[in-house]
Amino acid sequence: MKHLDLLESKSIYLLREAFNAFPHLCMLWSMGKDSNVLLWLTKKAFVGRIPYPVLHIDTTYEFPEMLEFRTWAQCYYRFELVIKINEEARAGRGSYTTSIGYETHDPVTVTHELKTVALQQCMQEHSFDGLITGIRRDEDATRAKERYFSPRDAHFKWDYKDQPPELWNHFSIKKWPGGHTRIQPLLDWTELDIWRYIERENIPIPQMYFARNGKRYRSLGCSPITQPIESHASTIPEIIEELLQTRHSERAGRAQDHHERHAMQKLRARGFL
Amino acid sequence: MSTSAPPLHIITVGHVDHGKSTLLGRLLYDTDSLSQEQLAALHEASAAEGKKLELAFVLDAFLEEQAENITMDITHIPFRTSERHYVMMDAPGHKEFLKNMLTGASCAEAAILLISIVDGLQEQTRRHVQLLSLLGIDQVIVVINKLDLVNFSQEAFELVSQLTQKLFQEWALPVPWIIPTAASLGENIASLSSQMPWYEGQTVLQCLDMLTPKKFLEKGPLRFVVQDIYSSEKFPLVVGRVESGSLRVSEKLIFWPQERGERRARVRSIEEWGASSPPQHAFAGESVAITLEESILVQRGDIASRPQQTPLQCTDLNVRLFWLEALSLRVDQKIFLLLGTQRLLARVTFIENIVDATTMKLIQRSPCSLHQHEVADVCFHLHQPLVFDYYDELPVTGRLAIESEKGLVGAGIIIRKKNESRS
Ligand SMILES: Nc1nc2c(ncn2[C@@H]2O[C@H](COP(=O)(O)OP(=O)(O)OP(=O)(O)O)[C@@H](O)[C@H]2O)c(=O)[nH]1
Repeated sequence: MKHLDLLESKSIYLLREAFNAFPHLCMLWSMGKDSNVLLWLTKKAFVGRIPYPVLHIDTTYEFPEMLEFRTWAQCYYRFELVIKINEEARAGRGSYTTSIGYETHDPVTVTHELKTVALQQCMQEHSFDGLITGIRRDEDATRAKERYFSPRDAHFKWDYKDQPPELWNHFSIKKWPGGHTRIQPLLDWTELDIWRYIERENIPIPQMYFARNGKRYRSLGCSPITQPIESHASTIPEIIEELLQTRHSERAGRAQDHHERHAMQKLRARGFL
Repeated sequence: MSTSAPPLHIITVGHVDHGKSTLLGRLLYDTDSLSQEQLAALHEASAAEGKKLELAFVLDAFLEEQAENITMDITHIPFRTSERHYVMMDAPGHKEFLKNMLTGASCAEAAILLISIVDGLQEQTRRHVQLLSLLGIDQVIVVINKLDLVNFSQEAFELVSQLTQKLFQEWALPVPWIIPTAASLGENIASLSSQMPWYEGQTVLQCLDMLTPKKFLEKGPLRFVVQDIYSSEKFPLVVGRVESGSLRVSEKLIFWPQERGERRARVRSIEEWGASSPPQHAFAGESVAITLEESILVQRGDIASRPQQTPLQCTDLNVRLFWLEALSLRVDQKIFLLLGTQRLLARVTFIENIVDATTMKLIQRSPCSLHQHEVADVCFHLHQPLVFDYYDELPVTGRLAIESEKGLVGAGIIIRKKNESRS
């Protein structure tokens, strides 16, 4: 079997296992390249259907082009879209004494409140028990230690010191009140695999990944803390060629990862993706 | 180099502190595989922990791991040589993290076993070798490490090397390579050491490229494991994965287990979203959705085969089992067996041949129970038949996991009963 076929087949297997195990399953979608591969794999796994709601955690700091893509893709794929904003945090209401935003707070705090906490609120509101994510092991050293099925308690805590075993095709499908399981079908994929697959399958993605005026985005997050890279890669083959040459990490342009040593571990232990 | 071949999965195993993470860190460092950000983080972390350059920190990313210089959980790192792609998995050497080691080992095709020349064969060295043998990982590169601490002595190396060969023979594992190294210095890792002119073999990197990748079982007997049935406008879709063999449109399948009468049906179609023309074949490793000509009841857990080369089904099983849980497994205990997508309740009827991994001696215990991290032969009785193959004939459907309310608590392979011959 070819490498991409094997990756695709395993991801489909995982999606189908998740759909069988969790009655209230949903899928995170950030409109980025990995998220769009996930949507595509979902269509393949369920032979044309998207049988669970698709969740966008909107920080209100989204690039306008990404929001345009969101509208376009929803029409194109026809799925149930749930959009969630942590309104209280933005407005400084409820349990928040001040408004949370990049103008006033550091990226780790903002990421936690506007992404993790918003996700937590959304999971609670809809009683979701399974959450499909698009994280990959090659993105970050703590993601490299993740499981395909990763249990989280009601506080979203990642018990990375005591992760359940996974043996062959058997995963931990634990359920407890308020908690959920993360299903991570893209763990084995690398950034290059994602691009080769997008090219092979012709998967729609936002234009911001392609170079304009000598710059392109390699990874997309909130607009104030996401930096483009110097690049002239304006087609997928050029992007692939660029990745084969580069000595830089994919998430180098994402400020919250590099705020302090172990920033990602701290964010992730509290429930960030 | 072919970019279309799947990467080879390799796990590093061995006793705590013998240098597993350092070896992988060194390999990545010496082959220029680290990004600038990874290198910067490595220097920053080493400085923060008061070290010169701690290569293990590339893998040991958690702050607890770096502070205590141990590996807690398995890390997967993509790596490539001029020959091919790899996924390197760094396993922890601590006893308490054995379940994490096993998680990695269950998807490994080959292993690198590290043994510190100063400590020699230790408890986890022996246990890991036992597990490699149980899991059928028979391509092992043995690395005898920290030779700098014995002045690169050939004599010291030969001594540990002989003990290692003996251990491998006891577990019926071949020993293709034994390499003397100093991982922290990079001796014999990516380039040959000038400190050990007496060594005439390969470097670790060269040995990697000599390993044989796993073969797909396209030619084997068909085992199509059913995950689910989805309703669709026309015919119900039977979804699952071909674990062995291949299936074709219009061929006849038998669905197992066979309880009240046979369930046979022909494949009407293989359905694929977005395919330019509907596929006619599916091969081992592929996740597929099929429709059937005849309407028969099919459900999750079923395994489909061809009319010839059928799997076995039985309510009594012999399993060579590795037990992970702190709470022992007892005779008469009820527990779930997971094989393919089957999940069946079984009762333990007998436990025998408990082996102490560190001494290789049989343990006698009465009443009989299986303790954490021990291997034994366990007999199970089930109410409903389990569909399987013997592990020595078809590993994919010959191995199973054990589940209790605690989650996955054991892993095993299905073996023949004592006076049962090969069918
Ligand atoms: N002198 C010497 N020290 C080494 C060598 N290789 C590794 N070490 C040191 O041995 C210690 C343990 O190395 P690790 O690579 O963390 O060991 P490990 O086997 O990964 O440990 P666990 O994963 O926790 O079981 C570290 O302090 C290394 O610097 C070597 O070749 N020579």
